[in-house]
Amino acid sequence: MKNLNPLFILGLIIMLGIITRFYQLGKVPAGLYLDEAAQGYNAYSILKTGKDEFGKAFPMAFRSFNDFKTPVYIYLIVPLIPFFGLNTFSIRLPSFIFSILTLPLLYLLIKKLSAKYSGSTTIALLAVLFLSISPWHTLFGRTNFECNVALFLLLLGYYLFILGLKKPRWLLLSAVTFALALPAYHSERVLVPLILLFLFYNNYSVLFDRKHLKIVLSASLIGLILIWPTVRILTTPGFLARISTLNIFSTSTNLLPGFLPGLSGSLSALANNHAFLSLKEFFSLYLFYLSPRSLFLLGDSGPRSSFPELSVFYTWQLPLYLYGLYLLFKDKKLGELRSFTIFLLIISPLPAAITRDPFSTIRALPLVIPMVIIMAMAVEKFFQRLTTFRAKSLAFGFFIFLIIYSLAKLYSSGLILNEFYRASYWDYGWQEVAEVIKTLDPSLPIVVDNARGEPYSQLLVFTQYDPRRYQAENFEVTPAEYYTNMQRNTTKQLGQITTRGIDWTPDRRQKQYLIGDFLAISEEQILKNHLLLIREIKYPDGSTAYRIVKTQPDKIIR
Amino acid sequence: MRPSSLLGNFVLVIALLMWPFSQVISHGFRPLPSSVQDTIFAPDYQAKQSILRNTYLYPTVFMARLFQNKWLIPLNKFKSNFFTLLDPNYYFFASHPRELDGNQNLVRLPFVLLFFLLVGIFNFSTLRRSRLYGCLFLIFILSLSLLNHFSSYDLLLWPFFCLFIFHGFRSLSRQNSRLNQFLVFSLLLVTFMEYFRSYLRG
Repeated sequence: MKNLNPLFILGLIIMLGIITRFYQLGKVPAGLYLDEAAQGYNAYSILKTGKDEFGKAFPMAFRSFNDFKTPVYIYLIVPLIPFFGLNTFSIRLPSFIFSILTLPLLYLLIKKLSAKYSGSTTIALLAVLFLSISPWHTLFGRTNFECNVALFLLLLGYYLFILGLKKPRWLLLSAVTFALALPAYHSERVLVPLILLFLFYNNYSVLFDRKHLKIVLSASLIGLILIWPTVRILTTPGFLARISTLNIFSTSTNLLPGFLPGLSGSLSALANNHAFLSLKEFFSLYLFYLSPRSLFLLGDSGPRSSFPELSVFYTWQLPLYLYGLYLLFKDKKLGELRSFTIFLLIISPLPAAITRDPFSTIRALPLVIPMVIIMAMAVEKFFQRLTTFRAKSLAFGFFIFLIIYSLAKLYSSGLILNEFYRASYWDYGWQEVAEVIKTLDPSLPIVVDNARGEPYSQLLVFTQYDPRRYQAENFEVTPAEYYTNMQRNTTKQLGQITTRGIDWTPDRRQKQYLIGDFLAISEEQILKNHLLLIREIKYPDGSTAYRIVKTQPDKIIR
Repeated sequence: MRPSSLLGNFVLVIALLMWPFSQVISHGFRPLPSSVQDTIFAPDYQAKQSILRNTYLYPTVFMARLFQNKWLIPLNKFKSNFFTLLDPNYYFFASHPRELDGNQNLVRLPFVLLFFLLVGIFNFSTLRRSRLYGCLFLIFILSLSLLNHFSSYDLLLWPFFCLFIFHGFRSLSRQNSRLNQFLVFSLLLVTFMEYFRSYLRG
């Protein structure tokens, strides 16, 4: 009966996490971003044909927009489509599921790592509570981001490894999980090897004893077999596509921040030394991930990886962070939890800090774990210091008030402001466009302007276009050259729909429909080219998203 | 004092002087703030217009308007200033990668000093009168956060940084002299580069 209490509280916290992530899942954020749509459609294509949109059977990295998306999330969508259909909800559902599963997993992990510490249950529950209401983790639990699934697999692999130290068979499952985590997201390609080195270094005496050695060797073999398909394409341009474009160390000197123009010769070589500038850039980006300004005020500047007016944590959590950091380095009673937290705190920003984007919450998502643990430690220690019942009650009441305030702020930013401020960034409107397309004359061609996006992926999803037909109509590269040929064709064919740039001179003289945003089909263009406005799709804030027009060649004076 | 300690202290002094040097060159000697107009409580027409523009985009929803209204302008400014002053990038990397609007974004200290600063903060409790220094530091930061142009007066924090950094240097030289020597050498190189680049920037 005594043990029910923490589990009951854990259940309540998980319910809270479910509410913050499941409420209006698939509808908020409104719209379906092109990367999300591309992942969803590739999953649909795999389901129907066993091949991706380019006809490659079960790829290890999905070519998509030549960005070679990581495969795990896409394969997770596949079994959901028969039950939920191909839509925004099913595309975002794996993110939600793994986001929720991370909550009890974190609880179990913290309990396991700090089993000898008397306050381990309190720290575990507080950490899970902070994670359940964290804007950082909540956003990625509501949208299609691979980093969420990768984080879960990373933590699961770690937890199973710790279990495996007592019962060696768990090491086999740990190897499988780490092998899945590695290709799950780009950051994990750096983090998984580092974590494995850390675990092996800390536990080598246990791992290489008689009881464990056989299993360790088997687990290592299984892990290597599972990651072999990923390793095979390690050096291809496709696999390296993302890192080569974003890596600060491969950026040319004159593009590095701090470059002084107007210098030449040895003066420039000294003042604009590449090693100095890139190292300084790396340290500045790395430090920024741990800075209170980015964690509690600014957040991520990316419109799709943040909620408006809200950072990754709440302002009131700043003192918890500072105090928790102090405790983390001073208090050695937490045992393995301490070393785990310090290690994850140090390595989590690494993959993000070597890319150019300042404070990328997607790439640094694992940092949320040591952060919530640190804040939980601070609260636990603070309550320990309170001696009277009255003081504890007051503090507890104030704490509950802060949680309610945070939920209100999360609701305000995530569900209200996000819809009106960020709809265009989430490519809102294409579902409505697809609904209108169904009502248009099927004998006339449709041209969809793609000057400022890649709408074909959304149209494929919302029209549920036949993947076999799409693969036949849109050849790009042979399967043999899938990872090596970086050529890309931006014009796509979806039956009567073609996505390409609108060329007004020939296009206005042919009877067809044209679809584009307010810049491609402005009011001046409508007047000048004698177009007939069929429908105007608006964003939630009332501004124009897309226009669907019909050309009238007979009205144009030749 | 050993020659290596003497050299280390000398390099530290040269590195620490970068802050007052760059401050004086950039801002000169500004008169102290003397009225409400110099503080975050001064009426700000642009900020009000920005709030109005943003709230115009959605219907009047209580939960949204609760967190986005004109009354919160001074609080938001205070938060922005406060967190900027707490940001290590503000001192070591000229606020890079999120530089401040309308600010000169100066490199105040060479980034290698950060290691000494962290060690100094970690060993903070061994410093005499540490609580007094901590309280004063906090008071100064809170006071500066109330100003519109706090970057012109943030030199008030320089003595605290000197204290923590020297304390960190002394602690590190006692605990790990090899690492200390490596950091002093790195500091020498980086300080030279920063001064050299500042000179070329003009």
